Amino acid sequence: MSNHLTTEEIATAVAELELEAAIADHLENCVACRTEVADLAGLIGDRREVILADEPDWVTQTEQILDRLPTGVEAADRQRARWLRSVLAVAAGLVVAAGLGILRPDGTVEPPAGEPSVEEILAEMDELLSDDSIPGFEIIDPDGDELETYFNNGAS
Amino acid sequence: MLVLRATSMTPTRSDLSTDDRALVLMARNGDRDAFGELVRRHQRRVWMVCRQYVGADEADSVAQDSLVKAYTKLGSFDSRAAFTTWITRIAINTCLDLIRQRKREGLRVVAADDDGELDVTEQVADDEIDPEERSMQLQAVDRLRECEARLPERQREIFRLRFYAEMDLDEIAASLSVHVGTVKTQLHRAVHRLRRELGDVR
Repeated sequence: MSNHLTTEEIATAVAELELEAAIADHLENCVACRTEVADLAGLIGDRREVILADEPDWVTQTEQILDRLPTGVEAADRQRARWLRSVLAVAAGLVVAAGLGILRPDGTVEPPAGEPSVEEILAEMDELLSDDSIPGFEIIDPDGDELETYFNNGAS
Repeated sequence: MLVLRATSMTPTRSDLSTDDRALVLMARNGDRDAFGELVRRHQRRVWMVCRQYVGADEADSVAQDSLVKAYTKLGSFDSRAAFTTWITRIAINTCLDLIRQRKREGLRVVAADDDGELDVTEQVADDEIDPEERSMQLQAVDRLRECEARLPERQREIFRLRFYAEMDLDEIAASLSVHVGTVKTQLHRAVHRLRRELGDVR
């Protein structure tokens, strides 16, 4: 390779990504390109040094972190508190439900005032479905014979 | 009477001193010194990551928050993963949470790209370099900072994690939940763009 590396190739080298063999060869033998790569990499390194100048005292930082850690007792307390809160929330819900008379002794739930019960809704649905007079509906196989024949044929 | 020594259940520090996973196991069992060792090993990386997201003023406290949060979440650490990647991810999420919270509050987090790093020139004094050369060096660093600030967000993020937090490509990919190929592409674009914008750097 006689020409110098392109900016793309220089970028590849600075980023330390995989270089094609020809580019790597050129870089090894070309002082100008090597200097260009080194200059940009060096500048990035300089900036890192500037950033690191802000870094805290690590010993103090470590101590402050360890001081802030919850103790085993605290952690267990927190977990216990979470469980307790959940249990209390459920218990409170049951007490309120019982107090309002929504919860029946057999464990089923009383519907809100003015709303039909589940049994009433099901009865209404049964009545509706058994009503042959609903327009648009027609019983095509009242005894289920055709359906049975269909399935038997399919099986044989 | 048969006495069983539970050495495999309760590893001592000496036989596990070099392994993060072992330290995690000990820390999970309440060994604060073991966690202290993990902090010492990883706090610089965590701080550098936080520094990139929230700037110099908040990096210390957010890095602390991240490490304390990591301690409380040790139970969820999957020992098949690298601890350093896991902790980096926690640090990134802690930073992003803070940025989101500040946005909701109508406040602004001073990003690493505009927090006046040039003001710290005295901190990088190098007696071996003559003042004029040092001044040029710092100007070049400041130009790099400005060019970096203009990079698309993802490119800037990956560039900084690679070069300032010194994470390898796989770690960046795992921490950001992206494919390593994406990291390579974005990193190359970032460096290429910086190279073009900077021109002759020295």
